[in-house]
Amino acid sequence: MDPAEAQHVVEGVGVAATLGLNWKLFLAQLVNFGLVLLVVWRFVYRPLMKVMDERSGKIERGLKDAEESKALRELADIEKQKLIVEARRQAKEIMETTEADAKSRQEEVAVKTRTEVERIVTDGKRRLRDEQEAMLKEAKAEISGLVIAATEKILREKIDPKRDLKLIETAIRSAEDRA
Amino acid sequence: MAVPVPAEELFLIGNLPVTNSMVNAWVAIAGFVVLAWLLRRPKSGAPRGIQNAVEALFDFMLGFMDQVTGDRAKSRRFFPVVGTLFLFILLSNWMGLLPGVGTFGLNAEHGGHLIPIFRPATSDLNMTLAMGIAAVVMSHVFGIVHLGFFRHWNKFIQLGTFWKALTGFRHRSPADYLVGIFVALIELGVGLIELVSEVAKMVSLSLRLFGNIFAGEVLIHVISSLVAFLIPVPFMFLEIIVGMVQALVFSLLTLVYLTIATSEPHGEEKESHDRKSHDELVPTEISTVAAQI
Repeated sequence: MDPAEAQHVVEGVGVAATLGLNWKLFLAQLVNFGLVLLVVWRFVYRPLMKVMDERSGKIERGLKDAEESKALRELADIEKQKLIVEARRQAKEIMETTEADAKSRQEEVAVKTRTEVERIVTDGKRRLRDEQEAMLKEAKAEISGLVIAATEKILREKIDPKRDLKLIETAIRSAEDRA
Repeated sequence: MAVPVPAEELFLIGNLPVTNSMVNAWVAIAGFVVLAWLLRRPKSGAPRGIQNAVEALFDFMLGFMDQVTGDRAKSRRFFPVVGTLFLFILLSNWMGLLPGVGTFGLNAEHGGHLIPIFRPATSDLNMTLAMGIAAVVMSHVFGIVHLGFFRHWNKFIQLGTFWKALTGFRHRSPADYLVGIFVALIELGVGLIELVSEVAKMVSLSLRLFGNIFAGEVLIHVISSLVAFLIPVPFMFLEIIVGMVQALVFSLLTLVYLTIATSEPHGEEKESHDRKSHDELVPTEISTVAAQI
């Protein structure tokens, strides 16, 4: 080997040695760092990240649930309001129809009563008239019988009954006319 | 008196030397194991105590990462790598400021100076290089998983352009073929430069972190040996900030590398209706800013 080159190599080794480079120590420190990496990665980072992810998932889910339930509650509120308004409207409607119904029924009853009364009155009036007429007729017949009997008694002799009846009738009519 | 650049060997386990910075790495591992043990049964209800704190931290970090990736799914995929880097570097950096780190030690058999039992893991180039290489390799793994093996490596060894130059569009004259091949050659060269820059990423990541933290150690050491009381306090505050910033820079750069590695290659952008053009801007901007730190 060229002496200058040899000198150079020695210097190179010398620099590495001065700085403390040593392949055994290097490997040992590499292993040390690897151990640190393993511990932090496998036993600190991974379980913690898992837990943190779980938690953020839970929080997100919780927030979403809260949002949803809030929306639901608002919806329910609106529904409730609607129901109340609807119930009020229905109650009012029922009241109104009932009132109107009652009024109309009252009127109906009144009308019915009036017509009934009128009917009874007219009925009574008619019956009265009928009775009157019947009584009159009866009286007439009775009177005519009486008259016949009376005249028979008076006359004692019967002309033929046809002429007799006519005579009587004329007598009655004249009597009526006079009355 | 001064802090030596390499981490010092405390004892041997079989053939493997155990250095003081490795002890600190183990302490950090133990810390993370304890954290994992405390969080062994996370509750999905309202989090309390340490779980709440870690969750808040993770959430904040993910939000921060979203600014670079622009996509929560991507942030979550990169988080284990980037987050671990950040937390581990931050813990290691700050552990160096604790009393007892760098002060308690064994007496060396020869030379007679004190070998501290604890030394920040990030002030050992072996550690930072391991993390830097791991970060860059991870970015390639994610790139291959996300884009497919050929499309990812075609960013660096651009053979696709040759294929396109020869078959893609209908050429009218031989000159078109020549231009196409010429462009393909340039792109091949650019891809090779990119390949070199991948190596540069590893080196710059590891040296930046190592340099900053080691310099901080030396600074505190020197200042405290000059005046033991009060005077080192502002420097320690400074080191708290430096430790934070360096952890942030390392992990942010890694995040940028990951984001770039998983984004669509430039050449295909025109065909995919410029849908990535907006995302592309952000990581490069941040990477230039971060590189300046």
